[in-house]
Amino acid sequence: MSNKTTSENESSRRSFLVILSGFFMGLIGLVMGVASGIYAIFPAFNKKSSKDLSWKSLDLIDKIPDGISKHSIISNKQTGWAISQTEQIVWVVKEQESVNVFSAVCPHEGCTVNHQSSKFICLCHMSQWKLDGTKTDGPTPRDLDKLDHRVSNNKLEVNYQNFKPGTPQKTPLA
Amino acid sequence: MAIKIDKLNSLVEWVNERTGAKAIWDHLMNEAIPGGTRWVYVLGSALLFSLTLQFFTGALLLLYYVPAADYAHISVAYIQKEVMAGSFIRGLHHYGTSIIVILAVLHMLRTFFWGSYKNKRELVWLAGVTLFFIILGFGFTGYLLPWDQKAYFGTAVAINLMSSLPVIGEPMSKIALGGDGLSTLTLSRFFVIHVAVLPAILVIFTAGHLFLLRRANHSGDFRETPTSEPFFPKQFFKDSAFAFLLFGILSSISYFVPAPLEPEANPADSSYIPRPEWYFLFLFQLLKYFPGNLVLIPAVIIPGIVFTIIFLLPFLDKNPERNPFKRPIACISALVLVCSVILITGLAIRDDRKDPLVKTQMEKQTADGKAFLKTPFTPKTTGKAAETVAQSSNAPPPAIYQAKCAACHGDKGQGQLGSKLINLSQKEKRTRDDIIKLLEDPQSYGLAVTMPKFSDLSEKERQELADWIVSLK
Repeated sequence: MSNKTTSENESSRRSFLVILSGFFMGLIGLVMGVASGIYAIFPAFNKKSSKDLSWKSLDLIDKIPDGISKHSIISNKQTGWAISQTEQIVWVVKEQESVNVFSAVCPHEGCTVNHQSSKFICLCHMSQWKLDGTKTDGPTPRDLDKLDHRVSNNKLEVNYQNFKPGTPQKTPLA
Repeated sequence: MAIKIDKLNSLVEWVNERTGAKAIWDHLMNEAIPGGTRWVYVLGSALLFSLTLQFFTGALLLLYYVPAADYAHISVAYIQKEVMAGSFIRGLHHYGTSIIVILAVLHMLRTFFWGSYKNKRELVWLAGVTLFFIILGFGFTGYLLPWDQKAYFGTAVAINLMSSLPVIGEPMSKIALGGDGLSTLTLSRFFVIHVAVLPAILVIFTAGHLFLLRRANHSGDFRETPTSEPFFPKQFFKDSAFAFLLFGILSSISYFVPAPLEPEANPADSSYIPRPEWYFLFLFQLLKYFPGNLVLIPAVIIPGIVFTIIFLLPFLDKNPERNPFKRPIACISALVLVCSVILITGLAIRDDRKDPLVKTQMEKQTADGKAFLKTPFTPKTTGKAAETVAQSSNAPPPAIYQAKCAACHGDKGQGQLGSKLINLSQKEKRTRDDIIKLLEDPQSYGLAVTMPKFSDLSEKERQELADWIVSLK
């Protein structure tokens, strides 16, 4: 009889040790899991990786030719430890008094939009737009993304932004 | 409840039928420990746990770290100051090294005093000592990666020491540096050794160490008692409990005492006094006792002899007796060695505190490091216009410059249509007085007619312009 009790005690002592070992290792796993999780996903939610809101000047308005012209700006964005300065392309369409500035990022999947004679075309998936930015053909879900612009000190300036690709609505990205 | 357990059991059975997991588990866990389980046997598995943690935290650090001299320090500062849990993860990796060195030494001493390297366990010992050298290699190469003051100067001194060795010193240090001096290439080399070469070797030798250990069986108690206990669950519990305690200590230190990070390496700093990590201090201290022409003795011969003896121990000590109380000479020699290393390390620390000049400088360095950790993070500008922005440390231009000159020479003097004004005063005939005169009649200074005459400016305005232009860097 006493033999049976001893083996039962032994068995419950064994499972107690196993459970306690599991608890120790589980707790280590939990701390490391949480710490490494927030460490790894942090940049996705970091407010400091900010959008660049400053106005970029393109050229003297009088120097911009009628029709389509290609311009580049330098955008400043803080990404992680760097303020990275990258060159971005914009298309300016000037017809008499009206001026439109378009982002060269295709609203479909983000390729670079080019122009052919009197239309815009994205050679990745053959989306096409008229010179006023309205879509005419191809898989693009929306018109070309117009950028805010203004004329200051006789210079054409643009507020460069990126927009969410692949949606019918034009939603600015942070 | 019973149904749930049944379901769980059938799932376990399902997996087992397809993998043979139970047999593997039994093989791994039911090894016999002669003389029973002991707390003193936790050191090996604690090392395995700590090394696994280093792999894990090391991989996380790679998520943000950049191994290039221009960016290494800023990326470490970013991890330390900005990334959520970054200071904690880096702390675990930094302090983890010290814990591993301590555990490795204790593990080796335990193995030595228990005579566990005897009786056909020579290869277990050889693999183990090799692992110890790999760990020291990790410590040495990892030290440079943050590219802060102590990383730079500490590594520079160690490599200079290497180059002072006869014959092979010069080529060896060149290979280590990847050229003639400590540069971004050196950083790449140390980085690759730290994150690719050493981890691979570590995994191979750890696997070998464990395989050989299981083949030779646990040595167990040195009294050679006939009874034994299985590893699972009692030793397993002791190992997990100790790992938990270790993790508790390591994570508390990492959380409450951020790992040190000094300002970015400045090779022009002539006052910095580098010191190696505490576990290399005894080697550093040995150097002080020998004149420069005898550097071979403390740098190679003494540590070489000691480490060769340690490495070849199972072949030098063939006495089958395991009980430490019955082999006094071996045990006293080991104690003398341990005490000497501790004593020499202590002397190194005392020396630094005794000399007032060194003491002041070391305190200043620690204070600089702490101050750097407290300053808020400032990102580094990279890419297209980085050069222009770097020049913006110049004073803002006077209003007259904006009105008359900026259109051609750029708003910061960087040059557009007109020539660059930065560093202009270093050229011939471009002193402050020259510039004032030049503005009146540029062509008399040999400039093309595209540079207009500014004789309509007042003397004061021209002086103001010249002052600013001369200041441009």
